[in-house]
Amino acid sequence: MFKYVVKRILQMIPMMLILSLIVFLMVRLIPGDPVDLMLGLDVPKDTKEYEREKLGLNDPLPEQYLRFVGNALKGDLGTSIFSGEPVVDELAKRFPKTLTLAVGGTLFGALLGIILGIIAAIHRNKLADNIIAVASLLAVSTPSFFLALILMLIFCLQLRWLPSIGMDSWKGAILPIVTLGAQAVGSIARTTRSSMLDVIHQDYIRTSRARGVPERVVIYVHAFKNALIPILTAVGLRFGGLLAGATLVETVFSIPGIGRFVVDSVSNRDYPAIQGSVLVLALTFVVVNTAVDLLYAVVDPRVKYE
Amino acid sequence: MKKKSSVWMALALTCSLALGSFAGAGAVSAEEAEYKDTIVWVIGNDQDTLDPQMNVSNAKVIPQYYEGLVGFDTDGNVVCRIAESYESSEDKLTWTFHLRDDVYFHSGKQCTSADFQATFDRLLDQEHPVRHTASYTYIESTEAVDDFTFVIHLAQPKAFFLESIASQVVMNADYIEKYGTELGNTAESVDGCGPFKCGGWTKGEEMIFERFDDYYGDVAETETVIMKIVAEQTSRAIAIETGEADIADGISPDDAVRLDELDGITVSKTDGNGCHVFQFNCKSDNTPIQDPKVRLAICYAIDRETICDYLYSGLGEEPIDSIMAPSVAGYSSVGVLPYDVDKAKELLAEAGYADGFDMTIMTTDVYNRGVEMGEILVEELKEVGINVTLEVVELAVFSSAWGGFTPEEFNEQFGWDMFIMGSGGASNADTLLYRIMHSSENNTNNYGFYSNAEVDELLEKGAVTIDEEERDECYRRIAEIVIYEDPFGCYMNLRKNVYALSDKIENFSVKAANTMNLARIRCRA
Repeated sequence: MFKYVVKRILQMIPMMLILSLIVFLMVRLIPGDPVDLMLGLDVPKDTKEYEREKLGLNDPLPEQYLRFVGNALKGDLGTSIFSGEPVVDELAKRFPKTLTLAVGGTLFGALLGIILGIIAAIHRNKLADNIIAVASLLAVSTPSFFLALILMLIFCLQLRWLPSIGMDSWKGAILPIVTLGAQAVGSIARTTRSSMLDVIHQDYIRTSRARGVPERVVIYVHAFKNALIPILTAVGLRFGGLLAGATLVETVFSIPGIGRFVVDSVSNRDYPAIQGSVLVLALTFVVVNTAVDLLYAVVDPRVKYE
Repeated sequence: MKKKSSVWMALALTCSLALGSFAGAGAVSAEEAEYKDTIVWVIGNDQDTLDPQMNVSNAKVIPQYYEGLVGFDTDGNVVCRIAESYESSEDKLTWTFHLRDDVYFHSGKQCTSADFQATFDRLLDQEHPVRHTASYTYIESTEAVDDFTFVIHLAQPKAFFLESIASQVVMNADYIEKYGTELGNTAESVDGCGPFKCGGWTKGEEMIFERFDDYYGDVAETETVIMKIVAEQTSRAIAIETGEADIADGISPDDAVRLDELDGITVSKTDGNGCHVFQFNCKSDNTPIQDPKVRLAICYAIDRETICDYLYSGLGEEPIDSIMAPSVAGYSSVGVLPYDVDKAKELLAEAGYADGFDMTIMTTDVYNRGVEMGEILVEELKEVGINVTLEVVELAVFSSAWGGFTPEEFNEQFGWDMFIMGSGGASNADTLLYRIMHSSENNTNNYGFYSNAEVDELLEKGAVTIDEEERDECYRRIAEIVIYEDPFGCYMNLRKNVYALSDKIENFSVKAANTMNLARIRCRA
């Protein structure tokens, strides 16, 4: 197990390097320039040139890249061109908020998705299954900004139960998490259903039933445990999706998280900020997926990491 | 509802306790107690910086923290601020400002002419230019004669000198020294003489305005104003409906109509100082656009009334009747160019393009409903046989297209025959027009390469004519040429400054430059 973890961590290094190069080149290939955006339209060319020189944007690209990687290895992701703050500080401020949303959304999505998936599998092709199928489809296909506004209208405007802006208290976190998790509910429910159906028709389930094991135990202990691996994979992948999806939710609910920061940075062509945020998001995604891989061994003793 | 008021009550109680303990007065008068100590203002975008010489965001925040020698009142008139009086030499080349001796910075330091000297040194430094350095090259030198006398020497007489100087605010000389280019990046580095001090700034999240009790004028009515960044237009409208915000800034035309009909909310719409223009690339590769007749035909083919009615009626915006807003010094109305398809066709025929031609128009949603406006233009120009390709670009591409290009470079890189632009932000005709219309080669702000000898001459004359009547006539004639004879662009709608307000807000007023008079605003509890 230890060897496997070390191997995975070592694999991350070339991956992050390649990713950093792609991000570095991509932000420079898209049209637009941070200095034009920072200084506005009515500024003479000389002022802009002076600013570009100051920011090191006129240096050759390889030099800029090596500087970026060298600093990143030391934990310095540069300084945001717009805020003038170190990118690491900017991310540290915002990361907890996005992580709360993504983890909350994943937990909400996984919990509800798994329960609905199991119910659908048990009641295969019956009314409950059909209702859950339609609900899952609706959940997957409702755009999150639309759902966010609908939830806002109901819970903030009509009922006045929850705040519509910010995430200063637990109350403020409810709607963003539900909005974000709703999309995961649908896909996790579908995966759980099909995985459970595969398992339910296995011989050992029939044997358990024949031995008179209560149905509840058959479903929730024997069947569910064996159906868990595909579900775990789905949950892990959804987490990545939710990290990215947090952008819209953060915008609608005015939560200053990383998603919102990335969008602002891209529109401002704030190179260091984009590079830093993408690296941190990618790293989070990789770490979570490694953790999911390791969980396989926990839920299924046959999985061995050598 | 109950929950909401209990939150406000708790907030009010906390603030009044804090106020009591700080002021030492102990009791708050009955009249004060009726008003909230904290007002929440939601806005779409944060400020880029609080350095007044570098800020490009807007004029909403800087004037709350900083003040200058002179400023504008709500009607746009120049009034004394830190200067209690001023006089000029007969040749209008030397301006002497007598400063008040009761003005203090938020840090507690007294404001003297040394601070003005440091501020102007920084503004005029050609080696390390700030945003508007190029606009003040007419200043030859400045001089701090004594602590409270500050003199500005001009290289040439300058029309609208006071209007031009009104946008420059004083910074603490010690802070300029201490923070350098970092000034304005944090709340701590903000030190002005305005009615509010910066009580905190979490970028992208919120900014706190705290009443400055040693302000030389009438202190602010409200102790704290919180500016919250809410990027989504609809979320801002919902925040005012739920009572989470007292003032919502930048609402959509649809929300404006809806909110206006609700009890407890009013929508304030006042004339701004800007307008939308679809500007021509007068040196386009596409030869028809080079012909003033064709440009005029395009202008006649656009139905501004219907466009405004359809897109902006919720905000109360109407077609502009000049090339500048009525609040801009030097404004004269020359009327709205009528919508006349026959006239357009006639002009096209005269120019030799009776069968029409192809052209490209660039637009962006950086401007409110800019994309929809572009789409309507495409349809309307089809009526006169002009086949338009609409290119919709994002902010970064839009911003990269201006300044420093030769016509050839611009045509090769972008190839737009017409492009959307906002025109405004200046308090006077000279500042507004000279840089965008004069054909001088080093005028990098003439984005459409407009060139008209008579306009050049009038711009030059207007810039140095002190006599108001004579000067206004220069700008009236320019407007006439630019709209009816040799179009610079199609002037569209006069922008409004639109705010949704809780009806408990009192004394709300906003200047044409879209600066709220925040110090006077109060909100009933």
